[in-house]
Amino acid sequence: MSRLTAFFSSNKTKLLFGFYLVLSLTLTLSYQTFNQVRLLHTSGGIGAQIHETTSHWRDYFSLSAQNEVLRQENARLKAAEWNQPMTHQTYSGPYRAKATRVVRNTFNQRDNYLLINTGTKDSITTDMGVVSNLGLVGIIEQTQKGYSSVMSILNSRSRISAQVNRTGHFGSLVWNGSNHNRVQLIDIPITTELKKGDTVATAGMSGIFPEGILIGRLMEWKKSADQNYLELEVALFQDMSRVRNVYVLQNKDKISRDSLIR
Amino acid sequence: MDQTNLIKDLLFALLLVVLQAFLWNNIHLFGWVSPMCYLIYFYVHPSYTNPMRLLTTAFFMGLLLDIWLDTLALHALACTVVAQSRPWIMQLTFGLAHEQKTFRIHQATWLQRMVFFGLITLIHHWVFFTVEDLSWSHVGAALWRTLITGVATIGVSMLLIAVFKPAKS
Repeated sequence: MSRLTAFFSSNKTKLLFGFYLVLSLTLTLSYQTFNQVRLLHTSGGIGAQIHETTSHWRDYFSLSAQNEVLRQENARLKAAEWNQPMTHQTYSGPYRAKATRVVRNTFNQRDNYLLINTGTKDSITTDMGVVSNLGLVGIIEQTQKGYSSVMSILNSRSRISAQVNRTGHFGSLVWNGSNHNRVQLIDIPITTELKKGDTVATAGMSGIFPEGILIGRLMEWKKSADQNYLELEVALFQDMSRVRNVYVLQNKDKISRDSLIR
Repeated sequence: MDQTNLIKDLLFALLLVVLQAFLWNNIHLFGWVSPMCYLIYFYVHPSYTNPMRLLTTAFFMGLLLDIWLDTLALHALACTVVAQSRPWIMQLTFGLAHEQKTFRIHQATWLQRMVFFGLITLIHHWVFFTVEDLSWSHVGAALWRTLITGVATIGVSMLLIAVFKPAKS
């Protein structure tokens, strides 16, 4: 017994270090392993409200820039409206957009998330698409009453079907984690004739996003490791470090569509 | 460390956590690099204090930051490793001088202080980014982020240390 006491007494710093090390590793790895949603877990409740308050003040100081962004978006929408035939002015597609605000955004981690200030009380559910006026942002992963977490396209688990607009070839949009302004479009057939500057947009395969939401511009491409496909490097239109106002896309036909696929 | 110094130490740790969460984490050099200047805590912490107290403060300081920044327990893990390796880093950088109770870090040479803070930063960042990526295929990316963020952390922190260094008596 006295030996045991002496052992603990002489190694107490090492034991405490071991305890903290195991505790922090367990906390980190358990969430990484089970792919649990981090943002709502740690930032839920009071944390989310603090994020919202700080975001509110940050927005206040960038009002001028935000106004300019919204003014440009308004101009684009007006131009689109004026160029549409009169019969098409009433939109009857399955998608509805809910405007919301980003209260927290990570973009310099390996798996990035956003927190938006709409949740179940606004009929937001998981697997809804999130876009900004400049392009794709991510997919709703978890919801609470007043907040939802969005898996950013800058996340190692994100896979969204996307296409090269000019050729119509589609593949999966992924992120390799190296540059927050670039994503990769993989599984494009090797016979595709690409041009630098081609635009890449959503393919609309999953029912989460409609077809044609812009993502970015083709910068370069190379053969995949198995030499059968092309991997495209796409520069994002949306600067993911500056996402403020976004829209959640609600597809009213998604449930019936998914039931047919199953 | 007496009671007054302990409270001062804890308040200083808390201040650094708040500054990291609200200020330094909102700095995005080159668009994505945020310096982790709260590591100044390990720089200014007296060398003669109880190592268990340093471990505990470091762990909870990191955990508090993790809760705020949504980084799982990555800061807690990296801070624990730094707190444990700090005596070894001091031994390596300052030799036996740091064991004397009269030792003050600002009395060391500029190069020694730079190496000391550089090692603290690199160990912290390497643990942080390696565990965050947790994949052999991302070892290169983790090293790259360690290096770039490390340069930013060391640069901004040394500037702050130079500005707020104690007056010579």
